[in-house]
Amino acid sequence: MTLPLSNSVRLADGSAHIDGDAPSTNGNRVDLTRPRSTSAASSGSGADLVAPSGGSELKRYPGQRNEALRQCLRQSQLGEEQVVRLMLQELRDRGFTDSYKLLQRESGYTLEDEPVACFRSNALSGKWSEVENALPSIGIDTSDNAARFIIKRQQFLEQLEARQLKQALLILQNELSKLTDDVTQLHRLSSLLMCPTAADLRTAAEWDGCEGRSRLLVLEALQKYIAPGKMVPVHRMESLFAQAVERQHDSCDQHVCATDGNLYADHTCPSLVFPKDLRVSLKGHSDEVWYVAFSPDGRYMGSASLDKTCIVWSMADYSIVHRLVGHECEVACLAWSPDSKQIASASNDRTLRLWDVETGRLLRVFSGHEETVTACKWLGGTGKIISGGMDHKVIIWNTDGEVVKQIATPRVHDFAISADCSLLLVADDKDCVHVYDLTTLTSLYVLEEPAVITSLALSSDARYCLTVLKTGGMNMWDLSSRSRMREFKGHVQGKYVIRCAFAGIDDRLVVLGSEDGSLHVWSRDTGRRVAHLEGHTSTVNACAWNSRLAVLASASDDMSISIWPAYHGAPSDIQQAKALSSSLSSPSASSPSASSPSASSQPHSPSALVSMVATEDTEQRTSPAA
Amino acid sequence: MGYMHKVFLSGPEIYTCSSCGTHLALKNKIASKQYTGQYGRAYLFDEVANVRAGEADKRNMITGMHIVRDITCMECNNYVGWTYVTAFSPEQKFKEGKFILEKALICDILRDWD
Repeated sequence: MTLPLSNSVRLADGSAHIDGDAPSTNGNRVDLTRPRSTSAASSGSGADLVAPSGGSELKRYPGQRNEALRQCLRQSQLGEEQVVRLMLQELRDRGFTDSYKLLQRESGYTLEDEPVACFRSNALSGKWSEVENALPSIGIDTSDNAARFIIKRQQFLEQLEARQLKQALLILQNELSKLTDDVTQLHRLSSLLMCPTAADLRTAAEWDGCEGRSRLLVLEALQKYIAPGKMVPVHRMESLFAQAVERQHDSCDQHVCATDGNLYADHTCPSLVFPKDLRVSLKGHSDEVWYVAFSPDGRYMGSASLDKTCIVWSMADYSIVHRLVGHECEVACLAWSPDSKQIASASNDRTLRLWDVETGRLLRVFSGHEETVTACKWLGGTGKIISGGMDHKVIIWNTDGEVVKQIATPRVHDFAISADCSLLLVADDKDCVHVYDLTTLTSLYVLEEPAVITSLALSSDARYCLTVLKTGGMNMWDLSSRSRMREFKGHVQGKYVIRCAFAGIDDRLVVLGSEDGSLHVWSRDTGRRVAHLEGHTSTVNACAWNSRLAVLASASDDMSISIWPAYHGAPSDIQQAKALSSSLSSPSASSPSASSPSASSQPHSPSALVSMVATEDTEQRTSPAA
Repeated sequence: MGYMHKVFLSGPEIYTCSSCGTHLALKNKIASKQYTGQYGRAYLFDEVANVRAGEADKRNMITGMHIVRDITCMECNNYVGWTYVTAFSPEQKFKEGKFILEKALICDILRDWD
């Protein structure tokens, strides 16, 4: 698709004076004194256009209703010239050709001066020798081989496309070969001579021909050799808007919902709240709950317990879908397959078990660890499972229960894997995190902590690593610099393994339980504590974030799991949510052993969560007899 | 109680749970051997590993009234001794927070597992 072009870049009056000596600062500033009258005259709107407003200031907009606003805009830090020229570019690119011309006339600014406009139109019409000759006039040094190479390459390809093989060969031999030392590039270009048709050429060169966007792309490529003030980079206004939205987004330390790029207002997040009365308490385990994880599709939640079972919960109505019974000892960890159809569980009975989520059936027992298995994960979409144990082993299994690979490591307290399965981080029992390359199975480097590490988490971009220390601290490492960059404080830990987690959009939040039964939510980037959730009566062992529903889950020694819906709390919204919840009868969230796989077929949005509220309290414990 | 990682001790001689072999304490960390438990001789340790403490219980012992908790092996749940929570007589206060392992329920191995 070609962008709409305006060939009449030059002012109609043709008298704009361009100061070519200082292109980057006021290259396109039209001499104020002359165009006033000429542009007024040419636009034919009468003599009242010229009305000096004190000093050297000249009014160009007699029809401007709000002179004060205009003065204010003129005094802003952004030069008027820059703003107007970006507007001109935007108008031209969007095809508002008449407005574009009018604005040029009205403002006295041109988007591009004569040589640049000429350069552009020559490039777009394929007059390459003229383009080359014009290089000095737009500030490109003719000795700059890289810029000339871009032009000559395009010329070569266009000759080929026109089946002018001889000319193309001459360009390649006499000119392109002198402009680059890149032999492979030249070889690739010469191989294009063999293409039998223009269509083959376009495919082989990944080039869309002179009728396509290729000439525009050449202009874009040349942009970096031209001062941006002379030729404004493509889509400049839009890219500035995008930057502004992104920057505002980045500087917000707490948002948990994706926001659309709204240009009308700055991005603001009302403070993040997890309303306590919207908390849902799930009871189904007969002993401490040690681990909790959401299925990747967000529809289910798995929990692992000291009572030797796992439970699959439906997130649609919080019912128990399946109880996974079979482990001979407590279950320390579980992991969902990427397709949300299987669960692997790791137990102190030294085995892993693979379960089918739909039927709740045990598919396989993985025997191979000689000590307690402390961690397990799925290796992305490879269909393999990775587990670590206190027996100095990390094992990669296929789903048939066969050992694919075995890695000798220190005793594994916990591990984390990068989303692309390239990095394996192992927390050992001696205060260190060992980082391995998972493809070559080699050790890369070691991070040292001052105390035993009980759990680890890696952000989805594999940049940040959380380490939870047994002595009661949590640190965040920046793996790009391999340095400890932040400490999170406030939780209580001393005896037990507490599992940390990232939460929110782009893992911007950090969540950790505490031995006092509370749950802490911090901002990853500022270290500010965003929320302190109280409700459990005993140690909170693990937590997990469901980005689809914007809810947090916490697993506790009090045998319950809490679901905490997250809201951006404009106080009125929360009041509304509360009112709604009290007007609805609460579903029984703790119906023991009720197997209802069909109940999971209606996933709901975060806003619908409001209607999924149970009002029971922790005191009304209705855990079934195991 | 919460999840705990099993600890593997390293030292010249290690006391383990007699039924499952889980490491419990280092022999050179014995604070005193002058104790008696339900199964005969017992040792006092400043710290032990891989045990879970039960409910607090008020007991009248040879040295007076104490609040103690029984401790069990984390791995096999067998009773191995107790820990002192509160000692009421001032000269027994030093025992608070320390652990008793009954000699009959532990065995010593010579080398660590590493």
